[in-house]
Amino acid sequence: MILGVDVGGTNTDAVILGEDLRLVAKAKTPTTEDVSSGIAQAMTMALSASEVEPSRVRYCMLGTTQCVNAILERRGLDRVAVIRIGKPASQSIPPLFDWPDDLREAVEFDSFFIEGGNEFDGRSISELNRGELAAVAERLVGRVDSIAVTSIFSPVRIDQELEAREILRRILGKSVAVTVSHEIATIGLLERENATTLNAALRSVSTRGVKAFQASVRKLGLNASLYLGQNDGTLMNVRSALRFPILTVASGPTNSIRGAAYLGGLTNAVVVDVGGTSTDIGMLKDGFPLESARPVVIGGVRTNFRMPDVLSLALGGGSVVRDDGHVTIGPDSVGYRLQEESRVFGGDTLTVTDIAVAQGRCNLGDRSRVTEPDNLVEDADRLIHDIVESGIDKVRISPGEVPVVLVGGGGVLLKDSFASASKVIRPEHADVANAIGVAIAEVGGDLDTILTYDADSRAASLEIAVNKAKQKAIAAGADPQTTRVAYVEEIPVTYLPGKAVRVRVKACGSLNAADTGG
Amino acid sequence: MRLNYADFLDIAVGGTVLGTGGGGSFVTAGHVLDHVLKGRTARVVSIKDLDPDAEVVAVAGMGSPEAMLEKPFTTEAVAAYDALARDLGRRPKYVIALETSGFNFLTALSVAALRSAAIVDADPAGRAIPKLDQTLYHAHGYRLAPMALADARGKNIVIRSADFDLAESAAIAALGRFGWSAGVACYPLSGARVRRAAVPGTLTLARKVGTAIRNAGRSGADVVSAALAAAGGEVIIRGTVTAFESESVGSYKFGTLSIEGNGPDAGSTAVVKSMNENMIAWKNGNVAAVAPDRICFMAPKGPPITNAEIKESDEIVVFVIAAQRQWRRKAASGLFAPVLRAMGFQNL
Repeated sequence: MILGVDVGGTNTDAVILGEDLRLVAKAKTPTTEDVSSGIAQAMTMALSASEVEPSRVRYCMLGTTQCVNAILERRGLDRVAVIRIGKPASQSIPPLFDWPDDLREAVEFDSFFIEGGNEFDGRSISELNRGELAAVAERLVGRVDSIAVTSIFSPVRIDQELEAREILRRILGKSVAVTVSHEIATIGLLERENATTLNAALRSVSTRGVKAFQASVRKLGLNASLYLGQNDGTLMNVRSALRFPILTVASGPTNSIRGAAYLGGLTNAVVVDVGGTSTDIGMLKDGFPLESARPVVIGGVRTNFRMPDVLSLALGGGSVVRDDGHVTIGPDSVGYRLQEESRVFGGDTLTVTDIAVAQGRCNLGDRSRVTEPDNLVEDADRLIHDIVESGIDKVRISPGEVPVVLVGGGGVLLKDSFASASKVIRPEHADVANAIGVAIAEVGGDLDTILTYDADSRAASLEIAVNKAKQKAIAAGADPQTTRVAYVEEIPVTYLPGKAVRVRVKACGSLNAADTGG
Repeated sequence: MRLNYADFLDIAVGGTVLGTGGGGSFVTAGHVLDHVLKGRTARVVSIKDLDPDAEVVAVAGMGSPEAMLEKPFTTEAVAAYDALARDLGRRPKYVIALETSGFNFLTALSVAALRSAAIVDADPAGRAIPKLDQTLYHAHGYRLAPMALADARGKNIVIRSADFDLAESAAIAALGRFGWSAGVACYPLSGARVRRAAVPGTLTLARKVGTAIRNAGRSGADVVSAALAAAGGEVIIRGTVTAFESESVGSYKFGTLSIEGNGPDAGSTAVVKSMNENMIAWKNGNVAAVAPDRICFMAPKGPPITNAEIKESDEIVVFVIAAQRQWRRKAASGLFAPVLRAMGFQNL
């Protein structure tokens, strides 16, 4: 049995999937302040609804937006010492140069340039200045918990970053987290440095989140393997999640799109995920979320990750509706306080939920408490749908009509038709699409190595690397029948003899159904 | 006429589209825009207003786009201009970009802005070019040297030679020592000679294309049609990248791009071979375009795309613009022959 949990801004959902990934039970409960109570509650509810023996749960997956929320809200982030190795090159563009002020203030302890770094061909710009780095480390003792190290051209030659990490650990001790950039992102100094710094800033958030997850699982007496959802739709074990929290920031949209695909039985569609505070619109292409062509900007910071191309609209079930001469929606929302604050539930705030109820589209609370005149309600309803329509238009990749899958708790609030939709599908269990998405996430195996090949043997060498990655995925629990290559990246390493290339391969496959004990 | 930040941004976008898949990545153009040109203006002079006795020096950023993604290029070309000026014993009052591309237009603009020189609305290529012997200056037999290469900290070398091959080899060797990213100042020429050889109005055209794209984007119109109308091109294929194989040799990246058509081009395929810049395009197995005709890329969603950052599953539109009349001179039309032959194109 697989237990999938999704912690959203408003609700925490849990699903139990059995053999063949069929849905056995689901549960939804408000997200709690401490996060872990909500997780435990959702898991308990799902288990009792399923009547499954807890001991039969073999895998427990968590998808959470905690990391991305921490960045967006500038809350709970660690202060990071940012070290760039590459002096005297790149000094005209200092670290974090174009970060939004408030995020920079929350994250940057200080930044330092150290002599070192490599050229394109692996030659050193300068040798790593160990003394200079050690002096910086001494100054950091007792003052930071997290350090980001980015060395010029480290994706081509990792030695200097590895040595820098050793030196920092030696002086600062193991309690200080050190993130090195070549483990985070690829060529593109500023974007990689940004991603590395964000990763370093998320260490505490990640530790708290993972501990909460582990506590909930223990409380329930589950003896399951724990995983967290990554940006690319595959799973990470706990150890990796603690070290690479930045790799989970897109798991929310990824899970929602993949969950929608599973529920809707489609491989190509626009997915509209309506939550309490926001609506995310993404494109499903050939079964996977379409990746963004633009550089991915997280919280105002440029990175070079490949992430789902998701348009986020500040429109959700709890979004506040106002009339100041003309109707406006949001951007603020009552969020998880919907059941206290919205009109139909006895509160004073007019929200998108109230509009949907007043229009007769859903039966929640007390409709008579929406006392606004009809034309205002209709104007608001039209505006809500115009916003969603233009969002769908922006996201789809080909002209002509496209199927739309409505998921998320707020899916019921919208109409059944959109101008650009060939059909609108509201799958059963749409309200737990995210939890399903993480539950069906695949297991990956990575290979990161340097190969040398001459012109004839490139194909053969790559095939060997690919097979090794596949074996790793299978060893991690992937079903051999579904295991395939997710991506192959080759970076020329011209300083080594022969035609040397750094090859990064990722293979993934669905969790072996035979292993689920379902 | 003075250009400002808003113009620089449009030139960066339009220039990258007109850069035939190369000329430096759009991200690199962004580094120059945001770290050198912010808050500055530059004076532009048209080729017809250029004093025939004025001294015009060509400036550029030279190297591998990947190297420039890791060591952001900022004031290297200004340093090269300074080194050449010191060697000449005078400061040329005019600069010109060495090729059409977002990055190199901005590089030339940055020298103009920081050194109070005027930039000529023209360039000796009207497209981007992989090698120094592929400009119209070379076709006219102009002398490349004296030539200076420099890094951002002012480390520089000045090459003097009457022989093009010697000067170019020395420059490539120096470029390697600079880590495949350097500013270059070369081809100091009179206004008269520039007028005889260069393609006029290229800076203006880049701005026109960039403005068209920006306006279309803002109004929700089709950016591709807007760009084509401004640039005067014809679509070869609209589709998705299915593969990009490349091999890097020094600062040259030899690429083979495979595209699967969609929409009106569903069922078609295309292949584009490049050497930093696009050289040949085939559609459904037939040659669709060959350099010096300009094989250009547009990304319908997202910033302008070059061979430096193109990836599988990117949405792309490939279009061709006929080479300008300056390229039809006999000496000019053969400049790409060796590269094309190496790529398997025989019909020259």
